[in-house]
Amino acid sequence: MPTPTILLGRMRVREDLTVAEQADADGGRTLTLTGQESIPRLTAAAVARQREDILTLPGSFVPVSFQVKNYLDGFYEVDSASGTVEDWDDDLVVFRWSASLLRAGTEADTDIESRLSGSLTRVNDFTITGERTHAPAITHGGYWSDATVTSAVQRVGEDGTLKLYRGIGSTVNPRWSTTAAGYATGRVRFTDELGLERSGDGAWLQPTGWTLSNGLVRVQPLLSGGVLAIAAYTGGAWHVKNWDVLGSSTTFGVFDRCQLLHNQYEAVTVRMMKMLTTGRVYLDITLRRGHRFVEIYLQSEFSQTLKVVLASAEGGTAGSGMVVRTTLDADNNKYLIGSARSFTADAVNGGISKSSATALDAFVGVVAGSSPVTGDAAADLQKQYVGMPNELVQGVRR
Amino acid sequence: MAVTETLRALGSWGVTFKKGMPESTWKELEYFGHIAVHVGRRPSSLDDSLLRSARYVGPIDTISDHSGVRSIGGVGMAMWLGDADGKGDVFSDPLVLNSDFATAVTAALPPSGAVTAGTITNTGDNFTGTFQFQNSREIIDYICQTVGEAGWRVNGDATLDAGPESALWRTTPRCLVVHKSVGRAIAGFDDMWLQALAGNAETDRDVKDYTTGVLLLGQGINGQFVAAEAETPEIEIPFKDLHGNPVRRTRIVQESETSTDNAPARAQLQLNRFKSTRDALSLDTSNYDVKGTVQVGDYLWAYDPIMGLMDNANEQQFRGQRINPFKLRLTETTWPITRRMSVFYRNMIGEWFDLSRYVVPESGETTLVVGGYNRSLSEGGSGSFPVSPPPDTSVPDKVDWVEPFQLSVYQSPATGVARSEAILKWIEPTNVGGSSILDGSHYEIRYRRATIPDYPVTMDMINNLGLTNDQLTLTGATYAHMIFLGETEWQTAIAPFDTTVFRLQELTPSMPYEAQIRAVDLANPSNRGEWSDLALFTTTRDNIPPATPAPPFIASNPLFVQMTHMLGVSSGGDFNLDRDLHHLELHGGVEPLFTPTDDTLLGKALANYGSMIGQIPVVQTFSQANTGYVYYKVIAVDEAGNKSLPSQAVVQQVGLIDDQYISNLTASKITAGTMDASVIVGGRIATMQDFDFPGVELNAAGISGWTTTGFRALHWDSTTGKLHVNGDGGIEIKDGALLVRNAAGNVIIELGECFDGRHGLQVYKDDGTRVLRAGELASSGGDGIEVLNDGGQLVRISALAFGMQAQTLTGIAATNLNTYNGNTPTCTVEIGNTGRAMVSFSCWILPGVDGGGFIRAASASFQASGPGGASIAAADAQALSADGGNQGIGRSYLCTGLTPGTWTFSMAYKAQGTGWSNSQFYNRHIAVQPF
Repeated sequence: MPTPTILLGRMRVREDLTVAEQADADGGRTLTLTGQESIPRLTAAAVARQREDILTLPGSFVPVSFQVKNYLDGFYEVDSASGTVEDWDDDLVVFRWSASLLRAGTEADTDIESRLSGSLTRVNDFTITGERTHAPAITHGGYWSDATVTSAVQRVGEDGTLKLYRGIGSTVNPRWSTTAAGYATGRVRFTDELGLERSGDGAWLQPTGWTLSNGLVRVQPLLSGGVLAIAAYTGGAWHVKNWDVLGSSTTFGVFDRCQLLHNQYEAVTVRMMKMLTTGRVYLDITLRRGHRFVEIYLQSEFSQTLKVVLASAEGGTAGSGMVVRTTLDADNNKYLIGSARSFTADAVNGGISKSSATALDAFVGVVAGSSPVTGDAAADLQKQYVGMPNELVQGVRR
Repeated sequence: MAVTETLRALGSWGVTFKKGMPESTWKELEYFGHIAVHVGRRPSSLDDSLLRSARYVGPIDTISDHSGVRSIGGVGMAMWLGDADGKGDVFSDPLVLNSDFATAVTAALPPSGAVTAGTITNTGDNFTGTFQFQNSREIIDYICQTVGEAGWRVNGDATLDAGPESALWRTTPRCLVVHKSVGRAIAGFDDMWLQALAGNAETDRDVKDYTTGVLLLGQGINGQFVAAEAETPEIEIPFKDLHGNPVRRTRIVQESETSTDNAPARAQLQLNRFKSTRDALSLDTSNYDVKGTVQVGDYLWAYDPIMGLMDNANEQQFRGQRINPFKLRLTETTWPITRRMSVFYRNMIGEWFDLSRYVVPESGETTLVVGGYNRSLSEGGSGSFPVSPPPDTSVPDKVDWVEPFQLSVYQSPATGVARSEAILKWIEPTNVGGSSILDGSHYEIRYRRATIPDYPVTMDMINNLGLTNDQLTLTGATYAHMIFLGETEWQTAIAPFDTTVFRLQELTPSMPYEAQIRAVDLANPSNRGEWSDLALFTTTRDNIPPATPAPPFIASNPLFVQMTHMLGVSSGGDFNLDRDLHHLELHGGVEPLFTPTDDTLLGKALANYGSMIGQIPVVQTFSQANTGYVYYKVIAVDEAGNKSLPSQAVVQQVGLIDDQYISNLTASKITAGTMDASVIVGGRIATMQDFDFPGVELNAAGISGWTTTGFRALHWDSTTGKLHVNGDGGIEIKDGALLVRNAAGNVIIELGECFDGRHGLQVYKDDGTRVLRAGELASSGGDGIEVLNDGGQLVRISALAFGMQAQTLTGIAATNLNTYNGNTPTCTVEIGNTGRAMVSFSCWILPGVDGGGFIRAASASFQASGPGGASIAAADAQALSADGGNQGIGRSYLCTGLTPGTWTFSMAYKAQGTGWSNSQFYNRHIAVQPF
């Protein structure tokens, strides 16, 4: 009989026979999980990395699903985590861990509240009014928005069909219902060079070989021929375009460092750092659940011309705040790149640049098909970018 | 005990020493010495440079020893401006400021010199205000708050920096403080341009001090209160009460130092402080030395979206997230003195001691307070003494008059005219409700001419006014009703509160008046009682007679008496009678002591103040038929009809009628030998009596002159204005023309505008035939002269050619060319419209000799140049020629078709052949006659 496991957040860990529970007078319930990760269920590298992710759990809101003790399934906030590593130089690597979880509730009585914050419209130079949008997990129901939602667009991704709610009120924190297992569907995931999905933000990462995906957009670093390979999932398949990131007309090439600034189900931000002879460059890449574009924020310590452009030229048409491929490509898509602030469009190659700048914000995505549905047109995507809120999730009693 | 630094306040610090501290070192520590906390180990030199380089400097105000545990403590350097109790170098005399910011702050520094000026930057604002009984910290803080967005700080070396916030602190945040709930993604990490402080951040928001309006009470001059209000517009109030009304919370702030000028700004300033929620973050961080990142007074970003501590007006990109943080100010820090720091002591004579090894190092976290403010500072109020709101809400009651008023008339010293006065009396009132008035300020009296007389107009008054019944009817009066006067404006007088009598002067005599009074107290704003009932009174008429005038000067004849009076009084002087003088009466009697009566009145002469101002004597002639001795007296009468006593009498006897007494004369015959009148008016003035031949006569028809034979040879017609000279021939000047006629009456000469309408001169023969016309030859112009002979032949010069010119040169002209050359002699003439000129020229010619020794020919011709490039070339056709010998020859040549204008003619010469000996030309002469 295989060892039963627990899905603790995005990690699958071994389920121990015993789970300590404690209840207090206020109705609080504390669960103490223990476990042990080791070879051969995991490789030595995987054990080491899972160790990192477990220890970064405290403070996180996580769904927990038990294979055996499924009566304990629910939503929890990780209060603390600890562990002991035993390493016999790959022959024997064992990580014994313990985590204390505060129960937020079960799917029966708990809503997921997405606290959306930030101004409705980010500062922009094109008099664009942003649109507040939000995509919950694929498996969700009872989406409550104080009756402000005006419409929704459904997007078929690699993980299934995601639903992006549009026109949400600027002061509304939507609530929705899901199961512990369903909470993870359609999530944004960061997979390291070993193919392991990482769930913490304190891990030591390789600058190459990783993958960032939300099922609709996928980002991978390139070793040559550009900086990022950005793929769009349309028509049931991934379609890749290589994008270059340049400073003063010179590609930054392969970045030197990689770290996760933010790693949650609803959004992941990866920061790449390029060490220059003098100074540094940050490339922040953010992907959010249910969105059809990746957000890029490029910072340079010293002012220079910053540019994001297709590695292979594809003619585009410059519009207000964005450049869109003029005609459909072979995959029946049109690339889309834009920024909230003023820029110089490169319609010949398909890109944008900003001279004498220390920062350049951009969003890169695709317009799927010749007749995109409402909510997927270029102007819609632009409004979604300008109105993109920050999201903080917690469980609230229904 | 740690170090606490607080914006705009003193802060505090404390150091505890280890046991085993040398007694000698402990004894060195003195009150008002200073400690300096330095990050790191001891610097290379221990001197006063530490005062600026140390993280913190503060004076000692506490030295304690509790059971062997010794410690010292104190406050920040701001203490030297004034401590928390207001103690300091207090300005006991008023400090009056009216200058730019830097000058005002500098003037407010402690007179003792405890703090000197450091870098004080002008804000561009001017500050006006007066301070007394306050220390420098309170004054400088007040100035900075009042001018807005300005601040101050005392440096470690006891110098003061002041100026705009941007000059003292970082106003563009480089630091971010977030609540821990935002997540680890932000808290505790840096980005390219922002540093997020790590630690436990707590958000503190409340509306305990939330204010929608401020009523500021200041202390003005002379004990007056100054009040100013600032209100938040209702639409900007986000909170509502249970009934849905906007929340109203008015804060009363007392500031004794606030003047009237500053009160509105101060009220708005206080409102700005409290019109929002109190938003603060406190952060405990393990970073013991944050001063390199942020220091008290700097602005930083604070962000807690869960608590709503966010501002959509600010957008920052931080670690992959777009955030909208609040911009707040670091108001307080508390940090431990750790083992990584050094502590030094400076005594009052400038000696330094290193205390580091004796200090008990502290652990713990650094606490930052962002955006909060010290509630003790926000209770409202400042200054040296409290301001109380106006206590007096009592209102004086209505005043009652004491009638009737005492009325009188006087002669105004200002104008000299008679004026009336009324002494008004009233009873001192109480407050409404019966309480005594303790804060009475004054009485306000208003009065005006009454519209309703207090008694009807009498017939006597009408007679005095000299009005007719019709005139009275126009005023709206009837025989049975009073005359209503026009309404006038209220006049106001002020009487002190400690009196109940007021003398109202400069009133018009004989005029009805009405008056009201009310009491005013010292409340601010003043409480004014109700106006009293109207009091009606009529001023006394003018009953003061003029002074006795001086006696008049009298001249008389059997018909008239003439009075001259210099308008002086009997006691002496001229033009000094009363100003309300209206006229003089002249009385005549037969004995010197007569009493003037209506029977003795000879007449009245107008005499008033204008005569006296202009120093114009009164001269008036009266009828007088008495030829004996007569005594004369004068009485002055004023505008009210009051009469003076009569003057002393003067006596005068009738004499001949002098010239000056003849104003009109009609006589049948005047036989005087000489008439020197400048004007004589008569129907006819003639030199002879004969009406048919009057000689020279001036009458209405004009001026005529007759010959002795009775022929009128000269006549100027006053009707036509023509002058006729008649007789054997004559001259007539009529409209624009002078005509000379012969004996037959025919016109011989017309000059001027002639009969045919032309202007000029026309001459006729006796038979009237015109022989000459000069001037206009035709009515449409064409000036010239034309002469007509008996044969009817006309010679007309319609365009004149002017001047004949000539030049002679005796000198030689020579040439050996066979083309004309040379251009002397020359003359210039004006060619008229005829285009004609006669050219005469001559010379002696000595022809040249050819190569074979033969004398050949030579020629002289003329050439000319005219206007517009017109010219005549020298040519043989118009030449003189000598062939084979010397000759003196000349000729004339008629030139026609010349362009009118200035022409220059000159002679030219040539030989028969070129290269031979010169041909010579002497005595050359040219003359040109245009015609």
